[in-house]
Amino acid sequence: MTVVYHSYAAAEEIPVLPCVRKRKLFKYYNREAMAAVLAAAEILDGAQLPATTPFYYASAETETIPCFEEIFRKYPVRDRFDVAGYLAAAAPQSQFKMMRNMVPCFVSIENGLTGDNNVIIDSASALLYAAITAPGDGPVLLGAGYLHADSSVEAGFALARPDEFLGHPLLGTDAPAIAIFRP
Amino acid sequence: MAVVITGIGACSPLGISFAESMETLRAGRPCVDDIRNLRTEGYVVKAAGEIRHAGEVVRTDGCVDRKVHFFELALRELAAQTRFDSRYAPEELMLNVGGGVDYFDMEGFFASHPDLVANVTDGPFYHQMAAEMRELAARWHIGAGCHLFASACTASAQALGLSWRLFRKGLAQAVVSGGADSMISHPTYLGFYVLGTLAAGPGPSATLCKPCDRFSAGTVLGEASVAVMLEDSARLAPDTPVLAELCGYGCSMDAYSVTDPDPSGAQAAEAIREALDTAGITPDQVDCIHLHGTGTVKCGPAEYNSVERVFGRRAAEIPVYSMKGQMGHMIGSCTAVELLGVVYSLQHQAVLPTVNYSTPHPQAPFHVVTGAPLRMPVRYILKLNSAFGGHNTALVFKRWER
Repeated sequence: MTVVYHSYAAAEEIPVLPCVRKRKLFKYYNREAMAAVLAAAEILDGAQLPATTPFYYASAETETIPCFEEIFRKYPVRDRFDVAGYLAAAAPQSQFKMMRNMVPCFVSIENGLTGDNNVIIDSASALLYAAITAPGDGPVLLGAGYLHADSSVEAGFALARPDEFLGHPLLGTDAPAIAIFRP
Repeated sequence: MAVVITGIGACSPLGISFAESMETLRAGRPCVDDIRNLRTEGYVVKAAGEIRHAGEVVRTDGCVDRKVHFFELALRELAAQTRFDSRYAPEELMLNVGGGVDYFDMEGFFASHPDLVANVTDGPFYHQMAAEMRELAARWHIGAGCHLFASACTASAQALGLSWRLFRKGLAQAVVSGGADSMISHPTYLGFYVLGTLAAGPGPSATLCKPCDRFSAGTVLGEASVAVMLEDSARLAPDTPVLAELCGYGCSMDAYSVTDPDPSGAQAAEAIREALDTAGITPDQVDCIHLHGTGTVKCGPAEYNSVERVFGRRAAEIPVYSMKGQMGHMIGSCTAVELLGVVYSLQHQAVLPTVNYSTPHPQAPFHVVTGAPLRMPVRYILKLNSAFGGHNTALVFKRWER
């Protein structure tokens, strides 16, 4: 099993740009996407994998918070609840940062991954079950990201055969998915 | 061993019980109207499929996360139907549910913090779905895992699909699956509006979502929470009612665009092939297709191309159906609520008409049933869904044969 794990402090730069082939999508990236795309590029570097390699990803809880804060920051009306104003302040890019499945979509588009997939909210157990039950006997790509409230972020990826996850100690637990990859 | 559906608890625009939902489906009553449970001053588009009972929107306070609230009601109905909570030990019961983004009560937050200086997570305004579902699982003594899925419009399909695989690997004893999502909150509704996916008219709200129609112009958002009981047929008592067998699942990714489906339908076709392969059937054995059918401009042609790649000329002949014309698009719970249409087809041996469809689409020349239910033998149903971001799922359901 190959594992990659990185964490970045709140203000730390995530040097993902050289790895991004679809530059038009970069404006939609939040910090979790940056960390995940970079970690995926590292683990897939030199790997000769079919495009149909299964890819399962788990995202944690806090990625939506900055989007709401951005709306209030852009349109800080204080005397009334003005839906139209919030509408104008809700940039389309924000929606991509809110939707939990965007990070694995970016990873898939960057690496041409078209196979079986799943997007999980923050559960190590669900991520491991997805890997164990993957179709075929070839390797699966597993990933998780955790964007903390202070903007620090963790990302972990693993490349392994499905049976390597059988009996994993986090199966059936409430542990966060990122715990699979932490050293 | 077969994986079977032994009960469904449902809260949706069709009704707040399985029986009420099936009756509204049969009657074909439109369930979309202007939003009632949310202030919409300033909204350009106001159509939505809100959860209803006896035709009236069920209202809740702004502090309530409707998707979780109604999922517990659906779970209660499921328990009454199946007695899952007394038939299985906690360690045998797993919860695998598709969901959406976390709920944020914008109005409540503003009323309490007009200076907007507090963090949105302060106070009772920010509802983390995963945490609330874990609490719900604990209250219902579901102890083999609480797993939430979040691939937008395929979230509940992936929840059902993974559950099916777990049974086949011997890793699940009994699973409460399904979906819970409500798009009727300011952040999510306005988000989809700015993305340009909502139908804006002209015409009454109930007529705006036109799946597969030449004049499709966008979708209508909705909300639904549906709990589905999946069991191993080998463990059932002989008199246990079975609604359907789930017998095949396939999944793929377009890796094409974050906003649009791959118009070629190439990867969606791979999901269909995998679903048919795992079900052990050929395309000729599929009797009808229950489509994703969102009513957006790009959905119909892409979905037709995917079906044509597998079914060839039969793509234009096989009867198809989309439930979204009647009640809108439930995003994270759309597959789960659309199971009601699948069960209807299997129980009544009929394909329902697609509400609001009238004009064939030249790039999606499906055989869309109109007017009245099409009576026909239905043994295998292919259920398709695709998601914003490029996920494609295909599920195969079979009429239960002991």
